[in-house]
Order: sequence, then structure tokens, then C-alpha cells
Amino acid sequence: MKSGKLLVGSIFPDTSKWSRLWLRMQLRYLKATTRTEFDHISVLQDGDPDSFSNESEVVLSSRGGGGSVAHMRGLKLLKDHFMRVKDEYEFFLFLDMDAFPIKNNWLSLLDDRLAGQWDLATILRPENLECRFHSSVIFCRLKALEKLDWKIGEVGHDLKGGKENDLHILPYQEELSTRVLPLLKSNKHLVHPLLCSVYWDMFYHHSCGSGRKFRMRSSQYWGHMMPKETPPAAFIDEIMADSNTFIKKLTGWTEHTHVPEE
Amino acid sequence: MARRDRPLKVVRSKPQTHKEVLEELRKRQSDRNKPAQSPPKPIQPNPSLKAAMPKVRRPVKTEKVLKQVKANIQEQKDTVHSPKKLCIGTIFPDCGKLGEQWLDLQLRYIKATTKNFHHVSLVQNGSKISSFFSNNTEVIRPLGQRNAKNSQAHTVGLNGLHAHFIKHQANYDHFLFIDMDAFPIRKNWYDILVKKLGNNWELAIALRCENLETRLHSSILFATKPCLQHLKWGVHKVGVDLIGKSESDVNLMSHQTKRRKQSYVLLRSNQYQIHPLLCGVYYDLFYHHGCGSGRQFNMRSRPYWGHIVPQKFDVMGSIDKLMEDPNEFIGKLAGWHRSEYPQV
Repeated sequence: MKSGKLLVGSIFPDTSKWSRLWLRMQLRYLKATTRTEFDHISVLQDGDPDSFSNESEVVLSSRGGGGSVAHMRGLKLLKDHFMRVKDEYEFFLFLDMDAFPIKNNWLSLLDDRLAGQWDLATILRPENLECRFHSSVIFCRLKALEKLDWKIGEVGHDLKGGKENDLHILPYQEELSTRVLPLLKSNKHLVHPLLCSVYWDMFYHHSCGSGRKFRMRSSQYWGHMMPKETPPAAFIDEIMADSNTFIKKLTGWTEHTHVPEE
Repeated sequence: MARRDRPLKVVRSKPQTHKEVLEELRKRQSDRNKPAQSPPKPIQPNPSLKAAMPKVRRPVKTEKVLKQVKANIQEQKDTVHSPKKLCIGTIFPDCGKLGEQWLDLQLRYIKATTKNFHHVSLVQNGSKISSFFSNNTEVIRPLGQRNAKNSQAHTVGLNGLHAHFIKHQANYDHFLFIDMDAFPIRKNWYDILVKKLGNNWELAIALRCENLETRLHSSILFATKPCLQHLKWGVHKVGVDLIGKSESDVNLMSHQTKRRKQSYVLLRSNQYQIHPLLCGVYYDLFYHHGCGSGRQFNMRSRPYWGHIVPQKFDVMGSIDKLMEDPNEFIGKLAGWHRSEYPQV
């Protein structure tokens, strides 16, 4: 095990413009906020891996299936890869393509907080009425990585009492749920109740980062206050145009790292 | 002295005979003495005469007046107990100055957002009820256990309000249990919430995930009449919170597990935050300050948020800021629909 080294993995649906832009954004923020050496691996669900990036190791996932199935397959592939090279790293970070750390020295802060009390840190989105941990961000050490698995199925009931049936993390969703440090939404300023979220003042997750149609579990719940025309693409344009200003507007509790443009 | 530009007052203590009055009286007398040929014309009041005539005080205690007085009293009674849509109940530790400030602000917001309501205050301590309370709300006292403290006191208060609501349930459609430092902030909140509940949910209640809680929080509890009979509180272990620690506090036992599916949760919705736990807006319909009694800030998730806000927070300072300009304060925090938040 190489002390202090981090391995980051992220899943991309294809080699489209959006995927490339998010990868660049993710790498920029990782470089600016991570005080330890790190490597990056991308799981590509479709497209030519050779043309995707020369800064990230690219692995091609098997085709077929969409949505949660493809996501699960990507996560499992990442885990397999992490396990193959586990001896080279101390920390492991799974990220959605539209998620990245935003706080300077985040790894040290987060690892200190876990400190024997919790095995891993991951996102919890009660704002989307979810009771399941969300794999858009998972940070752990080897001990937890070895146990990690994913499943699509019934989790229980969401916060409104409806059935929650989606991708979830095993065995941490049930038996080991008290070993998870959930990262909750912490925006000081919201532009949308569900999109453009900052978690624990440490990670940004855009949601619908592929520009897909906005369709989330809690859309109806927030119907009386949410803008009727929800424009994920407009928010993507905004963050891509000037991520420093955009993220500064959302956070604001503490000083955040200014990330140099490329 | 009476002058042309300053006429005599109409009301005088003694009747005064006037030349014109005498002439009018003589004319009437002569008319009465004439034999009746046709139905007498109704006498048109002479304006000048009317002005000059003194007003006569009628005896007060005639049968007719007594009847009217009785009718008025009955009408007042009927007004107090007339069917209203919503009964709102709030627990206050006492009638102190801070309690009066919260009651005043709560009532201002309720009046500005709510059409048809009756307000009840359960005052837990103190032997005297201040005139501000007695003039602005119906005051009730807790049922026993006046020495209870903290969570136990809150449970006693909730049970007291519940007993009152049960007793008067025939008059109302809905019931709102609300902390003294909480109130509705959106015009038409009642209709929005009733529509959301529909036939699927029987109550709406705050859920404070930001405080790592899994328990339904009775700081804001909006209940339909049919569910009133099921409500039951206690101070018990709820389970574990969101970070796996034991959670034990005021627990709405009736709905925490068994009737959980019928409970519609109200989540924090601030567009802008000045603190991750305090000064919360819920579902864009309600405001809840938190630690409104001015007690020390010591909430469950204080260490969890320790890296973004100081462990100590000036609770009284935040209350002062709210009281100073509630419209601006709440408008900024809620934020999504400025025109929908009333000016109080």
C-alpha cells in the first residue's frame, strides 16, 4: 500500500461533448483540491476509449442496459479495477461524471472525520425523498472497498411512504448502515431544490449532468415552489462558463478553492 | 354662543322650546281637530324641527332592549364557537416578554396567511396570564405535570393541546400544532397543504434531516380531523439517527412507524441559509426559528456541521434580527416566491 495515494473512478455514458466537459471539470477540481497524489480512471459505457482522454485511464464497459443497470455495471467494473490495484492506494473515491470535490484538502478533512467511527462516506439525498445512500460520491479505504457491492431492487420506503426501488450500496444500505457517514446537502444558496447541490460543503453534484430530461422522484413534491420549466442544460451552461463564480454562489459558508481555468 | 357658521349642538341637556316648534305643534293640533275626509298623509319630518328637537333617552331596561341584549350575548357566544376550518395551538413556556414577541409575530403571520382560524395558547408555567395573551389568544393550561422539563415538558404541552383539540373537534376541519417560534409564511398555505394531502395522507409534519433526525418533528404538525384520535406522543428511543447514533426524544409514536405512510413530511426548503440548522423554512410554507426560547444552541448535529459553522451560535442575536424586519429576513431565507410571502 502506498501511503496517502488516492484512486478516483468515474463513469461516463459516451464520448460526447458533455462527457468530455465534465471529465475536464472533474480533473481540474481534483487537481486543485487534492493535496495527495492521485490517479484517475474512467469507465466508458459507449464509444472509443482511445479518443476520450489522455489524462485518465479509460476502461470500456460492456454495452447494453440503460439508466440504473448501466450505472451499476459501471460501478462494479470500477470496483473490480480498484481491487486489482488496491495495493498501490490508500483511499478510493467513486464519482458520478458530474460530481467532484470543491473544498481544499478535502481528503484529509473527510478521512479525519471518518476516523474509525465510519467505514465510508457517501451522499444521502432526503431532498429527493430518498432513504438510500446514493453512489454519486463514495469515499472509503480498502477495508470498506472489499465489502462494497451494488444491487438494484427495493430499498424500503421513501420519505413520502412510496416504494423506493433503485440502485443501492450493499451491505451498507442495511446491515452496516450505522457505519456510513452520510453527506447531506449543504448549499448556502439554492438555485434549485434538487439540482446543483453541494454536499457537506465538500462535494458538488450537478445531477442530470448528461443534459437528460429532468425527471426525479421528488419533482411533484416540490411542484408548488420549483420553477415550472426546469432547465438542467441552462445550469450546465452556467457552470461550464464560469465554475468558480457559480460554485461560490452556492457554497459561501467557508472560503473555497479558486480553480484555475485551463 | 350659536352663530350661523357654528350651529347649535343637536344634543342638549334640557329641552328648548322654539318659535318654529310651537307653530308646528299648533298646526298638528288643528289638523287633528279637523274631521277626517281622507286618510291622513304621513307627516313628513321637518328637518329644521328635527335638528332643533332634543334627543330623548329611552329607558334602557325595556323588555325589547333586554331581548336585544340577550340576542347579542348569544351571537357573541355563537361567534366564539362557530365552526372554523382550522384550530391552531401553540405551547408557550410562560407569558414572558419573549413569549409575547413570538405570539405577536406568529399571529401577524397567521392573520396575513390564513382565512378562517381560531388560536389557542397552552401556557405551561407562571401563575399569571399577561393581558397581551388574554387579549389575543385563548389561553389554556396544561393537564398536570407543570414541573416537567425539556422534552418531557414539550410532550405534556402537546398532549394538553391534543386534549383541547379533541374536545372541540366538532368545530374544525384541521388542526395545527406549532411551536411558538414557528408560523406559516406563505399566502394560501392552507389550501396548498390540504390539496397536497388529498386522500393519501392524514397529516403533514416537519422532518429535520438536516439535524440527522429520522423522527417526525412536532414543531409543525398539521392534522386532519380523522387522524386526531390516533395522535400520541412520548419521550422514547426512536431508533438511530442518520449517522448511526441513538435517537431518543419527543416521539410521535402513533405515526413514527405504524402510520408512517400516512404522514406527509415537510422538508427544509430554504433558498438561502444563514445556518444549516436554525432559521429553517419548511416546504416553503412554514418558518421555524429553532431554539426560540433563547436556550443555548446544542442541537444533535452541531458537531456534524462543525466544519462549516461555529459550534457556538448567537441565538438571541438571530431572534433580534428576525424581529427587527421579519419580512426581509424571511423573504430572503424562503426566497423561491417573494410575492407569495405576506408583508406583516
